[in-house]
Amino acid sequence: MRANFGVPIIYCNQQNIFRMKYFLSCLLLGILATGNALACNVCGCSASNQYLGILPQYENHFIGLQYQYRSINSAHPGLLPSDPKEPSSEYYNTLQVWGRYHLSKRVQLFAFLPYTNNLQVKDGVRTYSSGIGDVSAMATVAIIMPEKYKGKDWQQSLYVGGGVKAPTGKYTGITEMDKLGLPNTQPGTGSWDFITNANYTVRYKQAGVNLDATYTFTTANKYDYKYGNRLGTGLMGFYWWQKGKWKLLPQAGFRYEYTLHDYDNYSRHWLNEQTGGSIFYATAGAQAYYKQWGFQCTYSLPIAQYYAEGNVVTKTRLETGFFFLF
Amino acid sequence: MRFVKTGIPGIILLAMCVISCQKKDNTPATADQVQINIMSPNPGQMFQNGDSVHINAKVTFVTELHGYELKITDTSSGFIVYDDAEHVHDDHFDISDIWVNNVTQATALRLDLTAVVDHDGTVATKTLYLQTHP
Repeated sequence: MRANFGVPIIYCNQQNIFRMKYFLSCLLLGILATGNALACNVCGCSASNQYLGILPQYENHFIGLQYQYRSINSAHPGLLPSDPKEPSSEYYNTLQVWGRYHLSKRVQLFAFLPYTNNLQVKDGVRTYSSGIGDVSAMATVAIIMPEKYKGKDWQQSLYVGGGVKAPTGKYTGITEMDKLGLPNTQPGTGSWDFITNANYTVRYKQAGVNLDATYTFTTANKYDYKYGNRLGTGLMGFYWWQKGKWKLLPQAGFRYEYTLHDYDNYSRHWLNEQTGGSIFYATAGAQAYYKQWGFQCTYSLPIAQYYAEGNVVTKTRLETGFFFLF
Repeated sequence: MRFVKTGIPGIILLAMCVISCQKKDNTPATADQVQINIMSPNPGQMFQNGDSVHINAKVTFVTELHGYELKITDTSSGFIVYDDAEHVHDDHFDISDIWVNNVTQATALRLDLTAVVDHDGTVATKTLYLQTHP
């Protein structure tokens, strides 16, 4: 039983497995086929900071629904340094369907289909921006197969992979906020981005550590605006408990995210030095499993940050969701 | 294990290289290189109260500008009677504004068109004077 990272294997009947495989295949194909169909569409800030982190059972496919919440306080600089800054608050709500499908023992496919509902409050005026966001899909390959360590006290796994984010989310062009390095509340970025990921887990008996790194190479959108490339890393410790059919996986650690400057005009190399920055979070959460169902909740509190020359301050981040393993 | 020893440091090194290298337009740019051409109104042109003042101007630069401000000031009271500030990033602006003259006394008006070269306060300004009569 200790061979798994996360929770033990859960057995389902064959018919169920077939149905779920078919459903997830259709979902993955549907997401990939969406492409530019909904065309148009960030953030830098709204642009997904997608990462994998500690994943449920490596043997199983899963499909899940995840909710992410982030709030940000911004100060809009004036045209001239003498102009007063105008404060605003942004609230990002993302609900996304995501899943994992094993193509083979080594290769896993992931897909993410977000729906965003963002709110900006400025001078008492509430501006909502909602719609389907940028879908992304990625594949990872097991470099270190966890199965090799099944039943041993020491276990480890390493997955590396890559993927693509398609500009399916609504994006109506660069905004004044983009130019000031402030959060963009539009659901998409209008660009094709390429994602690379490495995910390493090591575990001794019930305790373990997960190291996750994701680097996103952005491209310029049709307005020649290019959001900065992003690096996201996380180091999380976890402990695995089991009581009957219930499994609990408390976890805590840190996340660090670094975003390069945006380009106002990429072909002319107009670098916008008011954009980009970094943030360091303390993170705590838990995953719980009962039979084929899983639940997760993670809370992140910024410890240190410097974004958009100090004009953007991230307040808090919450992620929660459930998944069905099959 | 070879991948853990060499692959992961390699990925981190590659990421650091990618992070540290960002191409940047290093065209030398000073405020005196900004070309501001105000096609209308003409210097000294007289306007009656209620007249529409058509402001047409072109601003060009060798590299990125960060915006412009078009301002008309009543020189006798010091009040700004028209102000249009646009935070736009481009190497040229074609400006076409209309202001309806609402000044009710005979005075001189000062029109300032300011191009913002950077966010540190470097600007280029062209000024002309107009006349208004009730």
